[in-house]
Amino acid sequence: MKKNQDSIFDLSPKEEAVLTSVFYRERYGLEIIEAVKEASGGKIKLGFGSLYPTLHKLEEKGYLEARWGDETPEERGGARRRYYRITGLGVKVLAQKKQFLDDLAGWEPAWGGV
Amino acid sequence: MFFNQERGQWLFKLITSIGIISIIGFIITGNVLGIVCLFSNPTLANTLFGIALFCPATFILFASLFSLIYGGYTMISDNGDGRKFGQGLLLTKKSIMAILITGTFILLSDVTLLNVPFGRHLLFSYSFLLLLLFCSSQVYIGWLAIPEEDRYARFIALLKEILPIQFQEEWLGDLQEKYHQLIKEGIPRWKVYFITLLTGLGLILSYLWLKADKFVSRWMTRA
Repeated sequence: MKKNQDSIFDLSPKEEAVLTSVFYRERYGLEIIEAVKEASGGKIKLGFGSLYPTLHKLEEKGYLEARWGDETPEERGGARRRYYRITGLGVKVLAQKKQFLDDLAGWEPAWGGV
Repeated sequence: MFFNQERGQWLFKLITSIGIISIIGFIITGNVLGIVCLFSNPTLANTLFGIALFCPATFILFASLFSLIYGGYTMISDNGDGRKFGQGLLLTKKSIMAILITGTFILLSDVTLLNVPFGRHLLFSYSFLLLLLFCSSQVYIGWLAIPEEDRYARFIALLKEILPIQFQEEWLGDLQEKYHQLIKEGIPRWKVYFITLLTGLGLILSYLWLKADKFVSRWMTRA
């Protein structure tokens, strides 16, 4: 139970960005890098060196699941793509984090101010 | 061309050997200096650290060096079917990994816990790094003489040797797709190659991270 409560603090900003990038549709590694870069206006650049460990950690925590694509594009040398999508647990953790941030922003002291 | 001539190939082998020897020299010198400092300042903490961690690390380092040499010998003594070459290559890769991990631990211990004078360390140990830098620059200059396409193919082949097979399809596939994307965007070839090189190094980092993470979690589970 404690693990579940702490899980929102368990997400690093990088993990949160990767998890959010696959919220509405499944994406593969290179597409996630592009999505994060484009959505942040080029301010956040995920490298290959940090992407795969992040995906691995999220998969291990059960927030992501992966499947191999069927297509074998020529520009990939015939290699298949590995698509990632968010799991129910991942959606729950993101929602919990958003709720926490909203609650935190709107929190007011019961005694009327510090 | 550098690799297409017999002399060039030998030069490449020679430079690579000097590079590997300089890494080994760098690590062994750091290790010897650490041991000297360990016994010249015999405090309880130093002795315990030495018995529990430093000496076992030294043992692993030397065992890995022997295993590296044996791996190299097994590769050379392959009779043509590739079986011995594969075994030797696997052994060599594992040995290099063990040398790098224990070597880094020893070098970090030297300058942090054992208070090895940094100036002396710099003189004896880090001077080997200059040799390594020189060798790397020579190999890089050699690579520049190879046609662009061959250089890319050679780099991918090198990554295939380094990365384990279960990651190759996804990681190298993404790398190749990025390479073709950059070419389509009309980015100059030298820049494409430079980005690909950095990305490839990122993949090696990813692999090392995963390896270290697995090692640490196994160790924590046992503890």
